[in-house]
Amino acid sequence: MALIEVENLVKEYKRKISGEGIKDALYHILHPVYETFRAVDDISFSIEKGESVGYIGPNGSGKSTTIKMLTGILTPTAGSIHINGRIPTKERIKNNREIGVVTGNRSTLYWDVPIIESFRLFQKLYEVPDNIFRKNLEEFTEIMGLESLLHVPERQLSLGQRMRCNIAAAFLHNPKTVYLDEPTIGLDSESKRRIRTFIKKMNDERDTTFIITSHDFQDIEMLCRRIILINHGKVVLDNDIEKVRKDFDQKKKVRFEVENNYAMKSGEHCLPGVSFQYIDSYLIEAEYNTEEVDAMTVVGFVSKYCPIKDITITGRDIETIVQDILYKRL
Amino acid sequence: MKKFYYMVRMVFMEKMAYMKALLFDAAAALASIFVYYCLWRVVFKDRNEMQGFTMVEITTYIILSRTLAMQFSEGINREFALWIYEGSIGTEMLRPVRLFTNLFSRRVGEFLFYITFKAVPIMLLAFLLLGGAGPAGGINLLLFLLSVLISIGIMFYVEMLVGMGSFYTLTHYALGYTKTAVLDLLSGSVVPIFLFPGFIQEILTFLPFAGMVSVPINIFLGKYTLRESLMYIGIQCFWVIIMYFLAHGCFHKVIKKVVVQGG
Repeated sequence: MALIEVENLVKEYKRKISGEGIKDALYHILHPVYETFRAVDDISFSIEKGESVGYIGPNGSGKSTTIKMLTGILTPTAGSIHINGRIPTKERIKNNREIGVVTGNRSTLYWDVPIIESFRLFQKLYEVPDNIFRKNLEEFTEIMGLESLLHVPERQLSLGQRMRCNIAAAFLHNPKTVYLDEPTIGLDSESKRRIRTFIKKMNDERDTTFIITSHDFQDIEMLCRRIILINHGKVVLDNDIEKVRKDFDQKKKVRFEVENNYAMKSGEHCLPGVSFQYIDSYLIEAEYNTEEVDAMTVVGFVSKYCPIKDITITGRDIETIVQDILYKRL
Repeated sequence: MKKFYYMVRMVFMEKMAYMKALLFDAAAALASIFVYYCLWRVVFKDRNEMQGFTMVEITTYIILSRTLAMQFSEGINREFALWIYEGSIGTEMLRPVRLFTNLFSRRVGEFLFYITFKAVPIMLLAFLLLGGAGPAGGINLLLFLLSVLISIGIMFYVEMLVGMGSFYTLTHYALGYTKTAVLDLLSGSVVPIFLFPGFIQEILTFLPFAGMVSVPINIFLGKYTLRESLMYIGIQCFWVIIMYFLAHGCFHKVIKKVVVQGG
C-alpha cells in the first residue's frame, strides 16, 4: 500500500449568500440562502514513500483544501484518505507525529519567545531524543543560516527568516511526510534558494516524502519529480515532470541574430515544419516542431542565406506548459 | 506530564514578554477594589453588620472577589476564539497533542501567571492599604485554596464552551463579553450572593458559578461550617465532571464542522 492513498475525495463548503448592498444583507438575515461549493471534486491519487510531488493549480482550485484534508484538519465530505494506513481525521494525533506541515502564510512557532524555545518545546512534544535533536538542529542551522536567529523572538524576525525557522521546525522530528503549502510565498531569491536547497537535501538524503503547492514554478522544477495539476477541484494531469515536458513541449523556438536577413526574406524560402518570422532586418525567429525537424537542420538552413551572429534556442518551461494545458485545452 | 510542564512553561514565557501591561492591570484592579470599598463604606455608615457580615469581613470579600474576578475577562475562550477567527486553529490541530490538552496547558499557565504576578501582589497590597479580616482558621485557608483550584476546572470548561460558540458566530469578542458579564453577576463578584432574594440565592449557590468567587470567600471567612464547606466543594467537583462531559461532547460535534478561515 502506498504511503498516501486518496480515493474519490470530495469536499463541499456551505456558503451563505449575502447578496449585494445593505438591503439584501438585511433580507438574508431573515431568509438565509446557502449555496454549496465543491472545492475538491472527486480527486484520487497515491503517493509512494520518498516521492516529491508538486501539487499545482490556479488560486482557488482546491490545493489548500486537499492539504488540510490530508493532514486531518478538515473532514472530507466523501471519499477516503489513508496516510500510512491511517485515516488522518480519526487518528489525528498519531498522524501528526509523523508529518511536518509548513504553510506560507501561517507560523507554527510561538510569537513572543526566542525561536530556540519553540524548537525545544517541539522536541518534547514530538519526543525527539536529545542526540537526534542536537544533530538535526546543527545541520539545519548550517544549511539555512539560522545561528543568529535562534535567540531572537519570532516577532522580531523578517518574513524570510521566519519561514526558514518554520521549515526547520517542520523537520526537527524526522517526519515521514512533509506538506509544504506555498513555502516560498513572498520571499526574496536568497531565502528561496536556501529553502529549496534544504528541502532537496532532505528529500535526497532522508527520503522524506513531499507534497508541495506553489505558484513559483522554479520551486516545482527544482524540487519535484512528479506534478499533479488540479483545476476546479479536479485532477487535470498527474505525471512525471520530465514526461510532461516531453509530451507537451514539442514546439521550440530558435532566435537568430544575423547581419542582414534580406536574402532570406526576399527569397521566401521555407522548410517543412518550421515557421519563420522576421522581427526586423537583424532578427529572425523560427518556431519548429521537434518531431519533424531538429535544431541543426534549422540552423543549417538559415546559415545558407545569411551569416549568423548569435543563436538562442528556447523551449517552453513547465509554467507555460501548465498555462497552455489549463487555458487552451479546457 | 513532562510535555504538559513544557507547554505550561511556554505560556509562562509568552506572558513574561508583556510585563509592562501588568502594571496597568494591577492599577485597574486596585482602583476597582477601592471603588467597591468606598461604596460599601456608605452602606455601613450607620450599621455595624449586614447579613452577618461586618465591614472588615466585607473588605476581605471585596479584595478577594475583585481579584478572583480578574480572571473572568481573560481565559482561553479568547485565545480559542481568536484561533478560529484568524484560522490558526489549523496550525494548533497539527500539534502532536490533543487540542484540549493544548488549551488546558495554556489555561494552567495563565492561572500560574495570574497567581504569581497579579493575585498575590494585588491582594497583599490591598490588605495592607484597606485592612480586612484574615482567614477564619488554617483549615479555612487550605479549603479556600482547594476551592480556588477546583474553580479553574469549572472556568476552563465554561471558557471552552464559550470558545466553541465562535465556531458558529465566527467572531472572537462578542461571546467573551457576555461570558464576563454573566460570570461577574452569577458568581457573586459584583453583588455578594447573600444580597439576592432568598430563592435566587438558593439557585445561585447550586450553580457552577458560585464556586468561582462566592464559595471560596465564604469558606475563607468561616461563613460555612466544615460540613457545608465540604459540601460546596463537592458541588464544585460535581460541576467539573458535568462540564467535562458537556465540553467534550460539544467538541466532538464541533470539530467536524471546522472551517479554516483565510485559505
